[in-house]
Amino acid sequence: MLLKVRNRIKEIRLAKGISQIQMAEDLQITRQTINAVENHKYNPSLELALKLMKYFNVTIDEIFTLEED
Amino acid sequence: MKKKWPLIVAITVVCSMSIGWYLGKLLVPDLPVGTVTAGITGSVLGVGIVIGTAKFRESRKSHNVPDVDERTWINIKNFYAFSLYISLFGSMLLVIVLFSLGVETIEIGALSIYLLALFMLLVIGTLVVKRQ
Repeated sequence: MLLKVRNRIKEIRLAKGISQIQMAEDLQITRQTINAVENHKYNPSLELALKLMKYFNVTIDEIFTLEED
Repeated sequence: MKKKWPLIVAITVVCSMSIGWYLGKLLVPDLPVGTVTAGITGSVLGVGIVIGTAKFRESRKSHNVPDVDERTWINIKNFYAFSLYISLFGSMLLVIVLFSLGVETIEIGALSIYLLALFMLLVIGTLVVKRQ
């Protein structure tokens, strides 16, 4: 059984009206990384995941879910 | 203290180069001074151009987004792991081809040019991977 990590970062970011550049500046990551994470091409490290939780002020299960492929 | 760092680095580089120059002259009496000078000047100019370009790009940047982050480092590490095998197998293939063509010895000069080309490819590859 293959499990895949899904995230709602794009949805949350757009709901809060934050641009990718703004988010990249605030979290000190590249815009390409935000794109890759939002398109489920890269799973962020635990450190970045915790930073994202703090940045959006949400819990981990509000951002990340584990789904069957 | 932070402002003193460039001075410390400059003094260290100049002292190291002077010691190297002195030892080189001592160990190799017929040292080709012109070639060595050209080599050192070329290296200094190359480093200067790279640092100058980086500083110029930094000053033109309108936002505070970093050039590298965790994903970039992972990409670069993967590229090096991949290129290690490519360069090893490629070199082995080249040796086999040359040997089958009847070449049994190789000049150090030719080897240095091959290594230089390999390093240049690695640097170009790193820059490409860094931008992705």
